[in-house]
Amino acid sequence: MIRMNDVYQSYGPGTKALKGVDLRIDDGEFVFIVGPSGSGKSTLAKLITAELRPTEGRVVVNDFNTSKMKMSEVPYLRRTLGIVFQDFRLIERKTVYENVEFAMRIVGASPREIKRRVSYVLDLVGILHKARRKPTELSGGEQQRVAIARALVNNPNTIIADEPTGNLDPDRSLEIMMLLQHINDLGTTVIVVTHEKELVNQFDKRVVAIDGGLIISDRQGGYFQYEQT
Amino acid sequence: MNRHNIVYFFREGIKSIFSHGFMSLASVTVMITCLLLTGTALLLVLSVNLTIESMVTLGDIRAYVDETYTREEAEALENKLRMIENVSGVDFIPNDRALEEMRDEFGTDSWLLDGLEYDNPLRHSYRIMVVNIDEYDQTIADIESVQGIADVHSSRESVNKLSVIRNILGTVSLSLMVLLGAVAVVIISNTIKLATFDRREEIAIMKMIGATDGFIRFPFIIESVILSQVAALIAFGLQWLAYNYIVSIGLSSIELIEMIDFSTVKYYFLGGFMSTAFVFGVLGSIISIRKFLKV
Repeated sequence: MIRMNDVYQSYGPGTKALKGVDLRIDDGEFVFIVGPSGSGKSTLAKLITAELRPTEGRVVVNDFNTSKMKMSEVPYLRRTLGIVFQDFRLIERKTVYENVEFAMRIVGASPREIKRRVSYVLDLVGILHKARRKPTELSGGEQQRVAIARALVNNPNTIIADEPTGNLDPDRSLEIMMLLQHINDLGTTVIVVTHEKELVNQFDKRVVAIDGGLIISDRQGGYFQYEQT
Repeated sequence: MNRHNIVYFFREGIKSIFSHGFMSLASVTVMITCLLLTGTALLLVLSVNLTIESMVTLGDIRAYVDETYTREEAEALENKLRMIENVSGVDFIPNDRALEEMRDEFGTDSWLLDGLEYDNPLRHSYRIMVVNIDEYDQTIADIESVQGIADVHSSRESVNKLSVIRNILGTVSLSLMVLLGAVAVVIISNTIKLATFDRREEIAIMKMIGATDGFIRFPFIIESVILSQVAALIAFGLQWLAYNYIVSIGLSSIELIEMIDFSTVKYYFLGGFMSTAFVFGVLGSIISIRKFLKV
């Protein structure tokens, strides 16, 4: 569960990225956070992952109050999240399997658990047959599947994807979104930060629109509805 | 730290050593040089110390009894001498034994002393050993103040000069240790910084997927510990070989300085080298990785 109360975020004097944001995302939801470039949507995502601490206000993510938490607690918050990036951020020198396995090592999983769970998530995202390949041998869509598998492998409460389809063609983008929807159907909260109107419109999901650092719309339904308000 | 990750940490640390081969070699070389220079200075200090100690503990002080004293009166002084603080041993040398010793020293020319046994001009004396060299001057003064002691011979000047040399060497070796330690830390930290810089993306990913700073840091610490311990072992071997070689070719023939036997201090050197290198290695890696962890 994610709660933001009256959150302000500034990057220096006169540069306010968020101006009093209130947001609640319950467990099991699928939420799009949309808005134009510079609207503050990535700042919102960074507040959730604790890359940023709010300048003012309160941010609680999966029972961690990021406004007050110690730096040493940040890794434990991030373990409750699965983070997917636009540029995949896979480790090139490692194979697909190792990239996913690595996330389990970090939490101290046993070799037996790792073997079982990694195979399961690679199969879930449809990339098990390429487990021994290096990321550079895969297409963009396949790399993003690996990134999603890595985000999923520790069974996080929430997946947060920041422009996950930004580097993909429309067909691959749709595949990735379908995959995220499937993950959501299995019970994981999914938050997708994007500016791709067409993609958002293909799913009847909650859309939080942000512009100029303010939430200007928050409703169930597509991106165009936000534009019409 | 989780036991499942120990193998991973070692594997990553060792991999990194080979992927930055040149810098690894540079840091090992610098570390060896630092340890060798410090070790050499330390060996010199120990040798000078040994020289001073053996001079005073092996009976460097000779106290001569008043020539009017009979042998029995001279022997009676032994208790007074033993009671002096800092005196560890007293050996009475009657004048007939002194003459015998002199004959031995003269060797083939000992015939020159023939006839002296009938009217021995030598005095009874004591060879005195002390405990603490730092109280050397005071001890000599105490001996001189004993009634019946006419004269005291010692290597006071030599001992004092050697003490000065020892103190200078001690300061030099300590300064070297600090200076070279700093150099070693900088070089090791640069090696690790290079490895860290090379993997900064990877570190950022690790941070974002929930790795603790300890998890990220550990392979780099392993890397620097391995490098520093390899350097310590090589430096120890080289120090041993070089020192023994130098002693064997000449320094041992200089009677002024008694060179320390390396085998008597080898475990101290091994432990000292390894622990010093360990501290510098770990310090270097912690310093270098710190800024990359701020994600």
